[in-house]
Amino acid sequence: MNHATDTHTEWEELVALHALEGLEPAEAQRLEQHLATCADCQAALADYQGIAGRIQASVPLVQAPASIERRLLRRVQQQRLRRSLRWVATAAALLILALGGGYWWGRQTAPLSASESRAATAVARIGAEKSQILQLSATTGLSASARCIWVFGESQASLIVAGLPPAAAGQTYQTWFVLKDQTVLASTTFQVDATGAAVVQLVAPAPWPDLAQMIITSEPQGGSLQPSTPTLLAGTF
Amino acid sequence: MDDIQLLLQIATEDEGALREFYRRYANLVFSMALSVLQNHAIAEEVTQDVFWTIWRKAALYDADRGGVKTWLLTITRRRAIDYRRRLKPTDSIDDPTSGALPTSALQSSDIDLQQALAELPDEQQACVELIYLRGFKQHEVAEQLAVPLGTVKSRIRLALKRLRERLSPIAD
Ligand SMILES: [Zn+2]
Repeated sequence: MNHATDTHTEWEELVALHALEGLEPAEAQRLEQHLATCADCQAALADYQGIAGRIQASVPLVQAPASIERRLLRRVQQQRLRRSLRWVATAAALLILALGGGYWWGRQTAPLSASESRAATAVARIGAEKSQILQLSATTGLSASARCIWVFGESQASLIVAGLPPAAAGQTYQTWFVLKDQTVLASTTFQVDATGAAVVQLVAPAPWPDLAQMIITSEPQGGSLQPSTPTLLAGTF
Repeated sequence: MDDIQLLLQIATEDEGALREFYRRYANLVFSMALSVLQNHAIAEEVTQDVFWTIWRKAALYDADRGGVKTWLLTITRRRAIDYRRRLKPTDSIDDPTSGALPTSALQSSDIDLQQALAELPDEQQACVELIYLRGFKQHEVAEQLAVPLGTVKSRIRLALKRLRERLSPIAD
């Protein structure tokens, strides 16, 4: 290739910068046109990119903090949970709509029933970008479980309960939040339906990062100020 | 299991494979992110983000375009540069003298490169690192080093020309 050195130096600069990913899009485009016609620059670019790869691979090695892996795996589990829950909640919402269904088409403008809107809210929360899910497991032989879903920055949450037997006469289920300093704060009471399910709206009594645990107990109708019976379901934040 | 098999396992949502991949490359990814960002907290964020991307998009790896390690380093460097530009658009280069590649801390596996870099004038080394490893734009480097834009361009050209001569003596 016969280049007048003065004019070709600029291409050589662009080639070097391109190999280091330092060109603006317009410059890169201009260079591409030149590369198509210049074997010298093509060869230089290939060599320079090889050198760039070696520079990149020579970064000084330091130890990654262990907390990254914990956060990564939690995120993976959240994704799994969210995915499975989206099905559960969608199915629940559809079921509720179907149950109210005889009238559905005739009352399109009517407001949703309380249980319908709670289920719809739960579905929306699960689908939200920044939603978090806490899994509550049975502490006894009970085959019940629950999930609490909240969205970062919001104090309201949805609790989806499955498999709890209907509360005994005069009793109700009650949720509790345990703070990191072990203070126990009373939250909402609820009843389950005939299938043992409930969708409950909750308000966090403190910012989510301050919460340590969420538990569910059975309490006398009207609720208690402190848990009076053993924990049925518990989840740790 | 080699890296590519591992990526295939990850693409099938095998969490154990993700853990193993993380175990192999977490330090490398974190080191690259830290190199770009010079900030531990954000480097942790980027590291988690890179492995999260691997988890969701392991299938995008294309063996024809280079080794897994190169692919990972490139993803990480670019992601870290994105973070830096997004989080601190007005951030200046903190200290031009720290911009020189810390040759003593470089991995010893590529001694030829290490030596060739060490022989470059400091100002050329600094320009290479600021553009490539820290993702600053040419004009940002020029402003920060208080030199004309043309000087930055020619330092980069001279640096790579010299490295090429030193590292591939067969090329003309
Ligand atoms: Zn050319």
